[in-house]
Amino acid sequence: MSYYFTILSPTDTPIFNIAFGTSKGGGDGIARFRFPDTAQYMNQFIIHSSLDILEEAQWTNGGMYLKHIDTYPPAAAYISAFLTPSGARFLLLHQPPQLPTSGSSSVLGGSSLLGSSGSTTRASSSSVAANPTSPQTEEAVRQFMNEVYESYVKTAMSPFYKQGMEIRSPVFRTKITAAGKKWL
Amino acid sequence: MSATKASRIGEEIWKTRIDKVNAELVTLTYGTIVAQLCQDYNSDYQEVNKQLEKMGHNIGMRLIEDFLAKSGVGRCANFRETADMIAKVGFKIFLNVAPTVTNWTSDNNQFSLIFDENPLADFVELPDDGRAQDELWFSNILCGVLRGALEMVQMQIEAHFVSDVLRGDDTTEMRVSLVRYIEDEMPPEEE
Amino acid sequence: MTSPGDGTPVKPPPSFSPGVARNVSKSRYPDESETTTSLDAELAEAHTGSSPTSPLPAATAELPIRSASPQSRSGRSSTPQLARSSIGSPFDGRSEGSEDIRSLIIRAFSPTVAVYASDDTDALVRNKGFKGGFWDLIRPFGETISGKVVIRDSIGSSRAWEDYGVRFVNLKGYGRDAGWDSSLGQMEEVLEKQLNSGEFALGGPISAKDVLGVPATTPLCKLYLRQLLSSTSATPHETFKHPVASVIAISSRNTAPLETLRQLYAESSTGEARLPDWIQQDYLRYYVLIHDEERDDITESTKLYDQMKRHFGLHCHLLRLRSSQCVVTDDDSTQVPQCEWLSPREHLSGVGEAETLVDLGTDGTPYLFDSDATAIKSFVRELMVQSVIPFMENRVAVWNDQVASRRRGISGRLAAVSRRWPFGSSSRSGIGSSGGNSGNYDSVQNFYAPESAEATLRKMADFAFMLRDWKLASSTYDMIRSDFGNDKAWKYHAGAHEMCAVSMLLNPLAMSAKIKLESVDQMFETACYSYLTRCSDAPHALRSLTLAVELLKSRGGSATETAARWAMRVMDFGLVESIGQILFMERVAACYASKTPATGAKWGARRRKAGMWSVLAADQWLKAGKPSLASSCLEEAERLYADDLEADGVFPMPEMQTFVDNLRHAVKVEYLEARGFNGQNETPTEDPIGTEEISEKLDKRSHRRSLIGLPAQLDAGNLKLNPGPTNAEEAPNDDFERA
Repeated sequence: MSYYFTILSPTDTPIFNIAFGTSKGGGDGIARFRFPDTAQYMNQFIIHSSLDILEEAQWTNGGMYLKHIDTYPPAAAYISAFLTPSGARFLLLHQPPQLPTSGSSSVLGGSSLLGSSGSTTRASSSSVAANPTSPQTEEAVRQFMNEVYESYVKTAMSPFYKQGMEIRSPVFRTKITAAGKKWL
Repeated sequence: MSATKASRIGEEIWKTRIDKVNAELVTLTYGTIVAQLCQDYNSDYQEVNKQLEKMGHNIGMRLIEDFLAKSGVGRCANFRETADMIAKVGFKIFLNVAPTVTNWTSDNNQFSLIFDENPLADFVELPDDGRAQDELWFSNILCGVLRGALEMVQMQIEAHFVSDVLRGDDTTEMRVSLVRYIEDEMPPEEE
Repeated sequence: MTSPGDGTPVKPPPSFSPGVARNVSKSRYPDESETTTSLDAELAEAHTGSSPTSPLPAATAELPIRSASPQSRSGRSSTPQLARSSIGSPFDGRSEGSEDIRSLIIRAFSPTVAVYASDDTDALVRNKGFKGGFWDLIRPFGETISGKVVIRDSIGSSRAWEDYGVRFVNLKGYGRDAGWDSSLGQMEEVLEKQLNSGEFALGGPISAKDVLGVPATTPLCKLYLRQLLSSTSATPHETFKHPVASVIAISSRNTAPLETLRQLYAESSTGEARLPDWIQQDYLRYYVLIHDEERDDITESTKLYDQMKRHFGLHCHLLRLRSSQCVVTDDDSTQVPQCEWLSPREHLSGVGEAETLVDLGTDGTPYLFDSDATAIKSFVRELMVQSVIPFMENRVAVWNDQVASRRRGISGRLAAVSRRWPFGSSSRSGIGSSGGNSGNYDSVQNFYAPESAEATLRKMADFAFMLRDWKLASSTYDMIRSDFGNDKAWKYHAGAHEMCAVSMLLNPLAMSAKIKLESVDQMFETACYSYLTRCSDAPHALRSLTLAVELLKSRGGSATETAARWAMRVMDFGLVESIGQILFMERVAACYASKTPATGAKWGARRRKAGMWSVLAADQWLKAGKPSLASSCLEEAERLYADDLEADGVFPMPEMQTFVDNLRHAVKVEYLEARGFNGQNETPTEDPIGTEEISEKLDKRSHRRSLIGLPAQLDAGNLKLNPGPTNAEEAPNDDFERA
């Protein structure tokens, strides 16, 4: 499973980004997205586009943790969201690893966007985090989000941090990495 | 008066005679002041340090009265006793921390306060402009407080930070030096 | 369902009911305007549209983003097919565009009428310049029947349609077309061809040709849809392509007219022109006598016609035509309407050469005398209104009464239920046993005998569908769809699920509840699974998913998201090839774009998603070497993103911004390169600057994106505020086409 985590300010400006891979089940913590390295912008596109759903979900769901809100099927990218009361949005894109059997369909062949995703709907792996919509995953993501939230509050309390500004604190980054390692 | 006794006194006063205030409020208030100064002085951190010290001096001159009234302690026998009094009573009742007194010089005129925790600096991360880490002493107001307070009890001292965990150092350490006792003089006028 | 009204005779054409007609006329306009005749208007508009850019230096004016915007702005506002279905109006998800697509889909399922003409007839018509004979002559006139067509549904209420049509097929060689397999590839070829002819025109300066040559995205999608829907050949599992009637034609030149008619009838019933076994043979026969106005005596023909009526009954027509060829310079010449529904094969073999969207040129386009055209039109109208439709209405009523009601009754239901159990009569799975009430499925040849209850019900449902009685159609499909599954008649199974879902979606009254939407979704799922996995029938799977996409999209609301999901499934299944993939990306964008915010709320739209898909489509068009299409996709994306981005059009996410900037730049460069040769040759005076200098300018411009972003937003504003011109354009088009 590969993750791309973004914090957006209430005005949709990204204030923090991090990509990491799972550390569970022998994972080495390195993100391996299905897009080639040249197409990493896709993560941002997908996250940006999920704001449409997020804006809707925040009115229909009272909680801060909105769980899995959106999917980008062509790349099997799942988006989970967490809203802080002040309007910052935590968005976690998770993408199960590409199964080796998936060389099937796409006519576009090498195309980055349409790498076959049929396999993912069939992904049956039961381990936590391998199945993006399982309750275990939802729970793991919730723990992760809560931990991030805690760190975020502290960071936001720093007198030198201006609301809506990019979070450049290495401490914060370390904490997020640790949280990712711990839960995802 | 021994250091342990001082600790006991500090503990006692903290428990019984101090009105408590929310720590985050203090932290945020102080943090905001520092951040505002940085902005006002265009990140001239030397100047910010100076201003903080000056503000602290003003506080210290007032705070000493309160300290003496609350603690009821008498005159200290020597500078070492003063150091313990500052660390174990003064810091305890005002900030609920008790820094370690250490690194005395042989003439007993200089010592260090090592802060294990610093409520003023909770949550704080210094601006990453490449200079703040080297120039700004975030908690510099404390130096001013000590100077102002001791001045009122006839001690001219000089205090400055030598390290700060905010800057990535291992400890937060303040160096305090006695310059002289101001005997038989009238208190100087407020600055 | 069965009402007393069903039993009444349906012979006389139902009376015209104006109250109903008004509702229909709205949906009529979009398809009228579809013909290329409207391009004339577009041309005029294009010139005015591009004039505002003229103060700019030539080099800048020709940058794709900038220049494409006046072009397609004019395109959008003048050709309804562009404005319509590209992106719905911001106020109403179920915009006119969706009506347009719905109409297209509805018309795709028009009844089929076979044409069987005597040799002398074909000879006469060939003389007039129609190589394919009589069928070739009347085919284009069947696509739209002039005037309103009133149809009564199963509960006896009438509704008038202005866009009714009939598909004429040649009985000679009917059912002998190869199946689908090649046609998916052919569709792609047609698109490629279309695109290349479009790209070719790009070389020139911005001109009339250019405007036509840049096929805006949506007509292409529409072409694709039309191709898809017209590439089915007749199959046993659905009867849309089975002839409802057959026109048997002789001419006044025939020396033994009655004998010839009989002989033609015999050939079509038992002889060489007999239809395949899986088609019901008792379709309507309609006899036509073509009178040669120039060589033969009308009194003779009238006499013969009377004789025909005596022998063959009421289903006869006397068609008076001139036998000489008409050329454009003739006084009363009129252009033969274009065939909208050509299969990919016909497109490729050049049958429709003159009728392609791009070619406005006169060469090759056949002409007819005014009087001939009028005569054919009224013939087609009479054929349909007085014979074919009443025939179909009658059949539906009879079958509904005799077959469906029995199936619907208690015993029928019991039988259907008992078949689901593994014991009893239901073990006929493999062997086609005679026991039970169904053993009608021939699992060797894979079809039901046409007389079987299952085939009849399917035919009845199809008839109801073609008569646009979607309520009856969907309930009938619904009734039989599980039966097919029990018989393991998978293609029938898939087809019934597909059409059940489609007719539910077409039924304007049904389906407001969400639960229905889910069942529709489920039906498409089943249809797709049966087609694809059980029958390996990719083309039909593609058809049903495409219908799902378009119809769900046209329903608006949350259905648009389902539509987008199906479009992604199409791509995922690999049902479409490279150009098709990009088209479906555009469709995904269009689906998302048509989702509108909840009333009074700022949320609920899917503009970011739509924008993303547009950008991705642009990227793919560029990779496919079509910078102009990429450019219009980019422009669309800008319009979509406009509301969500800061006023300067900058993305909050830096990598996105970089990607879009690079894409814009690349599109410009490629566009200029594509234009390069011709552009320099033809307009040297306008373009005195060297190529290097141009590219420098490009570099500068790519940084000033706000300048580029702005016109697009203004453009969007225009679109939103002025639907007026669009409508104004339509009326003249209408007239033009009808004339």
